[in-house]
Amino acid sequence: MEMNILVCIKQIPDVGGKIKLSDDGRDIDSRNLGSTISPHEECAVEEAIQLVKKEGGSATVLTLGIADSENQLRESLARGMNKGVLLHTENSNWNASQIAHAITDTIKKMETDNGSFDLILFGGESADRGNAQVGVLVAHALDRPSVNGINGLEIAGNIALVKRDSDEGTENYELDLPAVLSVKDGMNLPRFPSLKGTVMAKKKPIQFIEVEPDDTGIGFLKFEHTPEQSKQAVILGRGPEAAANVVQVLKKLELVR
Amino acid sequence: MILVLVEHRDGQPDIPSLQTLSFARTLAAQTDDSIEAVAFGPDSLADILRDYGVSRYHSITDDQLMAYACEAWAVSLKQLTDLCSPTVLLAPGSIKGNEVMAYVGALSCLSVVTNVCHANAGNQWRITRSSWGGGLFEKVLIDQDLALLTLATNTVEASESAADICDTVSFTPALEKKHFRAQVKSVESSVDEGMSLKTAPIVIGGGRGVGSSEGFGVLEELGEILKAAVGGSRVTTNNGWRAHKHQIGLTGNHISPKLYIACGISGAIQHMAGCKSSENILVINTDENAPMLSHADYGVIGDLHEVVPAIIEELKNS
Repeated sequence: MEMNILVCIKQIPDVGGKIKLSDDGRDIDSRNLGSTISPHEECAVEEAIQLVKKEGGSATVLTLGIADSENQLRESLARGMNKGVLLHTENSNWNASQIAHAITDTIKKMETDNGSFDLILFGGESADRGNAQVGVLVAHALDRPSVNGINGLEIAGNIALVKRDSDEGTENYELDLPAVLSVKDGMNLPRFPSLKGTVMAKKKPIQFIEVEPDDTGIGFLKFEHTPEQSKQAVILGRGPEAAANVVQVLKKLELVR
Repeated sequence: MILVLVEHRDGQPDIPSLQTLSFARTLAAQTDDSIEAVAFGPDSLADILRDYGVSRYHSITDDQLMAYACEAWAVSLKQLTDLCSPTVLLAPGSIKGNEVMAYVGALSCLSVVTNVCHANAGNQWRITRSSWGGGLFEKVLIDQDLALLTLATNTVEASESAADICDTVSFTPALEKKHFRAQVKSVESSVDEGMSLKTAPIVIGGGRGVGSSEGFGVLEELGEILKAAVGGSRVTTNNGWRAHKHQIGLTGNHISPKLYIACGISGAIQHMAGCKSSENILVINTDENAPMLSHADYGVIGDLHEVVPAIIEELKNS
């Protein structure tokens, strides 16, 4: 079955080992930082590319963010997605409901023009705020079934066979398409963009749409650092000579006799 | 009144749910509210819920709801909140808890605050939530008649404080077929193979510095001797050096061993999110400025491919 798939991703600063905040605490200080997307979303992109390769059809990647987010769309296009949509805003503090409203409105318009998406994929949770809400909210607004945080997916005709790990074990679901799913890291091994793909990505179409957040009952105030847990590590030595001290530590912790 | 969603397994509330009940008591103390609980489970839960301060238990025993179905659970919760008008609906920040609450929010046209660590009650609720994989707090204000919250797991300890009585009331939601369009059909229990990252007293982690799939050989060897589980950072799973199920980090396993030995791992916050509950951390890294060292108890500055074999040798000789 030819599949029309939409994958939603989110640009985040690649913060490395320590997060710096802006003076007012309302933003991450991302000067001098590269940007990336969540590992979950990389797997969602990979899944869409694989499904379209197998079943035929088209895979679209969408993001909501600042103009620079185009880089993350281009990277997904370089991996093999077919076209992109950038919901452009310079406001970086959207909450989950606001993001879901804007994405839902866009999907409805796109589907009126081009027919329904068989599958809409999200990452299990964003790497920044980690709300794990947007996929469910979009599914509800479009009146489609959804499962959040899936670890396995197979398409059998008009049905999505879905696996999700929980504390009890692996849950099995069967959902009628169209459906909305959010993907967990580890479901596949995301490819790296090829040089050829990167060249081709520059020519692939990206649609730009201006968006603004609507009002909701939640107001974002600011970020704060968690209590400083930084420790001063005891340096046991340099190179192989440190081995004896390491074993002493293992003994002290009663992990070896 | 504060209403708490309790998840259970075979009639025994799970730990995140007990933590959520304990958190509910700190909210109730601020607002002088009572605590009620709702579960898709048997009447017999009432006894243990009473021990955790619940004065009324809304039991939903409908057979078709015993297998988890997100929408059906959410519609049930929405109908119950319409009936008994709580000021707070609180759920564990589990996969299911966050998923169901997202639906309840959608059904109620209200926003949900997930992974809450701290809450100050008032006309407007001031909430602190866990953000960036626990690397930052995020402060938000809620201006809603009903606050929809999920609790970040392991931020509050589960502690008992019994209510005088807990009466059980049965609740039967009105559901339609479409509410079951995403329902668990079956559950395969997972098989544990070897030392589990989640339970092993010692975990050895490899990062970029391991260099290759073969590079893990030396960590495996140390693992054999110490009876430790061996995992890797996302770099190692992303490069195919290590299977994803062995990933330690925000999007992999969250570990809490007595000792975590991190080899060739720089310490991105996504990795720290998965290992910060370790009791002790020993870092082996060539870079003495690696961020990982500022979260560690012990450090060895050096190449893991030289240091780890020396440790193996030392252990064999001692």
